[in-house]
Amino acid sequence: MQHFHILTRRGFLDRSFKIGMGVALATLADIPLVVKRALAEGNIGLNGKKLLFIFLRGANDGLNSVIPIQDSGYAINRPTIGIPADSIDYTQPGPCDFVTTGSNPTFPTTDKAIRLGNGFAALHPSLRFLAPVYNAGDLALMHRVAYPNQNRSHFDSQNYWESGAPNNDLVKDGIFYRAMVQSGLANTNALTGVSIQSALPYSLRGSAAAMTNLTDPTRYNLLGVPNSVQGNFKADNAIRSSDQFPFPDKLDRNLLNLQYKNLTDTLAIFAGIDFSETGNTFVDNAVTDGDAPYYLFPTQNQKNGGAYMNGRTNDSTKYVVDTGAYSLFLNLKAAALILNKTDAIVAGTEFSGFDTHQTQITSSSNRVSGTHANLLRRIGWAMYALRQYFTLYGRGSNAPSSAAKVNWNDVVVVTLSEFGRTSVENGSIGTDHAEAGVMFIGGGGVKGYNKGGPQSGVFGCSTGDSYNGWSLPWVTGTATSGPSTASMFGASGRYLKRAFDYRSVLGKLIRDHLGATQNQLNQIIAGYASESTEHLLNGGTSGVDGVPIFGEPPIV
Amino acid sequence: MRSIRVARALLLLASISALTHNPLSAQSPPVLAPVSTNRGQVNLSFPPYPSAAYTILSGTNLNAPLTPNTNFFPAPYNLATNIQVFGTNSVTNITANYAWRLTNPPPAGFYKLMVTPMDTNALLTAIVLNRLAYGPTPDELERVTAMGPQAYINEQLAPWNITETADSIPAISNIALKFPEAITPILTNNPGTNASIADLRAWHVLRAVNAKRQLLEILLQFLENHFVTQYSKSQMYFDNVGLDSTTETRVAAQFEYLENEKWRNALLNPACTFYDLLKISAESPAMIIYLDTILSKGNGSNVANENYARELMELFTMGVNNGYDQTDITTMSRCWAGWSVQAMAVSNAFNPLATPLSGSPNTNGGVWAFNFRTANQNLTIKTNFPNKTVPPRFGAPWAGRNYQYIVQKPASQTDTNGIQQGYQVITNLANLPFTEEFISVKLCRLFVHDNFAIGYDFTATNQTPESQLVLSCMQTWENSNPKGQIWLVLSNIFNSDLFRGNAAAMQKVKTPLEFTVSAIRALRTSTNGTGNPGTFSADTDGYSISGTMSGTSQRTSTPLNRMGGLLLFDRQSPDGYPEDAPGWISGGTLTERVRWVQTLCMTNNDTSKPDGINDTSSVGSNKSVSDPVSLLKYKLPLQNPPGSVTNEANVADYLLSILFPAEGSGNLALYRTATINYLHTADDGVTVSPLSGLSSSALDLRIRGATAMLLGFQRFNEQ
Repeated sequence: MQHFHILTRRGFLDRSFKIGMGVALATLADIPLVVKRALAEGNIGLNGKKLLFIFLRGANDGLNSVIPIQDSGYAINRPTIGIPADSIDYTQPGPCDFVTTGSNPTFPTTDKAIRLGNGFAALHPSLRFLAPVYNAGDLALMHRVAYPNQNRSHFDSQNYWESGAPNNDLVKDGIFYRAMVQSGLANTNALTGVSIQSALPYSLRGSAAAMTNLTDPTRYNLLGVPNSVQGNFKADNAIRSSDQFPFPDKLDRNLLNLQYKNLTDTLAIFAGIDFSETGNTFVDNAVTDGDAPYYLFPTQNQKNGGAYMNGRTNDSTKYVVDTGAYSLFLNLKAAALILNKTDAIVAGTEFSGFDTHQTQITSSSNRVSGTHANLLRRIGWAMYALRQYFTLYGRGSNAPSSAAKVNWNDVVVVTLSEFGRTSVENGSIGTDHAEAGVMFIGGGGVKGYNKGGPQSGVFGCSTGDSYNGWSLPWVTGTATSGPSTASMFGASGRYLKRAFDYRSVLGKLIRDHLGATQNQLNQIIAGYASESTEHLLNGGTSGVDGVPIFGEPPIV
Repeated sequence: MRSIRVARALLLLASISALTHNPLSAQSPPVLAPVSTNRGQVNLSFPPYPSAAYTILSGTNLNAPLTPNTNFFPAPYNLATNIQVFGTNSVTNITANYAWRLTNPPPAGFYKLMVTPMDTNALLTAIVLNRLAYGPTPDELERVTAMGPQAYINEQLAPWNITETADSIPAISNIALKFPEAITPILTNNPGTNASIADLRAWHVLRAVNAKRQLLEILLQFLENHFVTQYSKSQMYFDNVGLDSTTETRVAAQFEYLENEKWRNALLNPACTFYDLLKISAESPAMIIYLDTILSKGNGSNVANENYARELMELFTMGVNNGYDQTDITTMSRCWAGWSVQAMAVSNAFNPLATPLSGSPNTNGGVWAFNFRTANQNLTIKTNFPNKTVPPRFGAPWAGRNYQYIVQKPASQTDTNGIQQGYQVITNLANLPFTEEFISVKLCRLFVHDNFAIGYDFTATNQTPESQLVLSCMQTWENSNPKGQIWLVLSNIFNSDLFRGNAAAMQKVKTPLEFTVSAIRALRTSTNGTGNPGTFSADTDGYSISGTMSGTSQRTSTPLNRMGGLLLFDRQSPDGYPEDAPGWISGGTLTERVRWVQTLCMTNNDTSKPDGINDTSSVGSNKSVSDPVSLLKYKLPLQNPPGSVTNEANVADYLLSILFPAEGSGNLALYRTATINYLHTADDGVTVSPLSGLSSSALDLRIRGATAMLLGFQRFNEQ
């Protein structure tokens, strides 16, 4: 089956116009954004709640992240790369195993799958930094997440995750962008949605308002090359006003104009935040191994792990992340600082390199190190560090950063990734593109282990899964010919079948955390406006591809 | 030929509201908005028209002809922002009007606006130098204006007839000498003296700046980015193999260089086909490593790696979801198992069926080359695209064709004929209608504008100009013999109406490579006419744009990387770097663009300044440097009428003419005002300080500042 969409701007505008006429512009059409705040409903941007996103580009291997250790199909189909089970009873309920070995009390080390205590699932040992977050009830591990008629192209699928409109190439703006427009604050506040990466991501792109992207926060300054103060003032002034010179319309001039204006509007805001390396002084409060507390954002060897703190020599065995991760944590730190110190509502960045087609483990005799293990350590430490940062340096903490605006209870951290990877390993010690995957969601307001709703922080990875009155248990077993009843082979006989739609997860967060009304959410994620077909809210059998789904998970 | 369109408005009469328009389609002439008077001023307001000059005519008596009134001056603008939200889509229409003002007007008057679109040859000259080249140089602008843009198109479509002087430029040839030819056993040849990836990048940038065969360089960058491979993945692979750290970087750089050289040689054949280019990519060791074919095993119960088969169809030939499905990916992936890269004896460098050398890769004296490992091949029959037919939307001659093709199984696990499976795949893919469509679309995006897509219904009665152009490219492809001749497809694009008018002009944003190279070129002339090194008014060593460092420091400190993560020959993601504007334009990247042009123009002689990487020695030496005063002193006296470097209007007009040749003088009025204001005032921007009263060093700084300001404006980001 093939769907073709013609994407000329002309077609897009024509279509938009027709759609607009059809719905008689029922919402806020034709009203400048500057006055929309007064008319907007909901609480996005007003309730102090914020969102931090991390896109895991390349498609994270969900089955080796949150492991269905009690599914016999797992070890059989991943004979080389499967994470070994420990000699423990994984069905025993309770908190996530907090394996403590050696003298390090905070960060357990193990080379076996870590029991999650939901009777079924286990954690990759490189995700062990998640344990404290999980056991505090601040973490939701969402499994079996995908969307109808899953596309297995990286680029299409990333676009669909970020547009919030799977398999609809006509939607050219992003899900977080639309949330910011619905807040009524876009173009009123210089900062609403922010990314820190090489380019503004699809999730923040849109034509009516500028979202902000910083490629290098320490260099966000027009006056990089002062000739003399006044001389630059002269050029700077001209460039600052250049968004107001009229020119005939061309395809990219609206974009250039909005971004030039956003740049000049945000220069002063960012100038007030210390993004420099010397400003990276944020440390944990836990004492480990007799060292001083670890730095939360490892941006250089000296801030990676604890040994340096006591003036000892470099101890790479204590690194919390691999040395290739420093620029990622520089960006992550900037995202955290921006949420804490500005009015930005959504901020995020991306981690790439998850496309593990080959050699995702070091070797079959050392399955818990190598490419994928390093990538998972980044995720685990990022979540742990963000929790500590917003707790220790956020609003109301003992040592808040100056003008701190949020704390851990105000923030939700969410990861996105375009799809999961094949249930069966390939001949190259790797995995190929597949369907359902895993989302990591953390925050003080998250209802994880032993906190409010379900007793476990694992959603969608047990044989007793039941939400919203629907029972869609993880079915164990291995592949049969054709689509299998087993979950890991439930899609086309090769892929993990979805039980959650990513839009239900993001929709739940945008409404119940960020403060959108249901009406706004219907605008932000169009699928919500078609509940009888899509079932994103309450679950049911998807009218798009016939797969039963849970609807929204009770994560916040 | 100047065509004159006239719009008129009578004082104080109601006007017609401006229509929103499509920036790609022909536009009606502007209409004057209601004329307003305010405190003794008359304001005439009208929307801008592409590439136009404006003349305001006035009179007090309608019975007499209105005459040009040169007392009007452009003034702060008026902007109306109109945002429409349609469901989940929103559209902003920013209506930017001119306000031309006249002080002390007559008590009553009649006003008329005359709009003169730019001469079509002048517009096409700007288009071809922006698209077939890395932007105009002052000299090329003069040359193409004299010879006519069509002659330039014809010249660039036949690069084999152009003598490439860039090869003899020492900065370029010195790097090229460091690349041994394909068969040189670089493992034993003291690889430390071979070229590194930094050398290769600088060489690529220098060719973009200098080449006479500009279109060829544009195409080579396109191919490098289309058939993307990643230097650091090759390097990491050889690191795992156990090569020493210098050799692994040199081998990886060599692979990227060889791709470039092979595509260059292929394109110098007038009958070069897409298959020729695809075959070079498929056989490239960099590709075999990049998309994991090297580790793919299809023998026995092993599952072949899908990565290359997927991207081969999705990104390199057919386009995403265009005529294939997951089953086809799985089937095709089995055809590639066995394609590998091994250390081969020098005599076997071009024999993929020979037995690889054994022994330590650091000492066995081999050359790393394409090798077919029969032990990994898959022994099943592969029925590709089983019973699939070309969909009706393609129309004749394609619709309804059954494009199934069967790849026979190798006779045994040691059958070297198994290598033919891969060649059969690319032979078949190269001229599928889906491939013809996708590659045509990508070429149209590169040369015309970004809004082309796969999926048009070519049988529909109302074809857009875009679908018509794609279809004619496909027909050219299909009807050439052999099929898929690239130069014919390109000629088809360059001779289309869509390419030759405002639907193309300035509709694209420059990539960081295009931005930096075009800035150097825009200010670059040989100031004594010799064309010799050392006499250029703008120059670069290449390295200062693309990076001298490697590893982590390179990732944070090279201009191309700062402007949005562009690392030449080292793209991680197989979709290549973006061609469209949203991939490159954000506050962070615009900051870097402005800072870089400030560096290029203003930090000469002061490395202590932020980003102050410029060399202190004269223009023409290392680094990226510019000397706009030399350029102006050389060129202004040659203008008609002759200009002077101390005349603000002469300087502003010349700079605008070389930096924004497609815009039209009318639309540049406010840029001109800003430039003259800059040139005519002291550092406070207020105190009058004419150029004629400045010392030579103060004049130099003033003009450098004005040049940097113009390069930092929005319009220089466009092509």
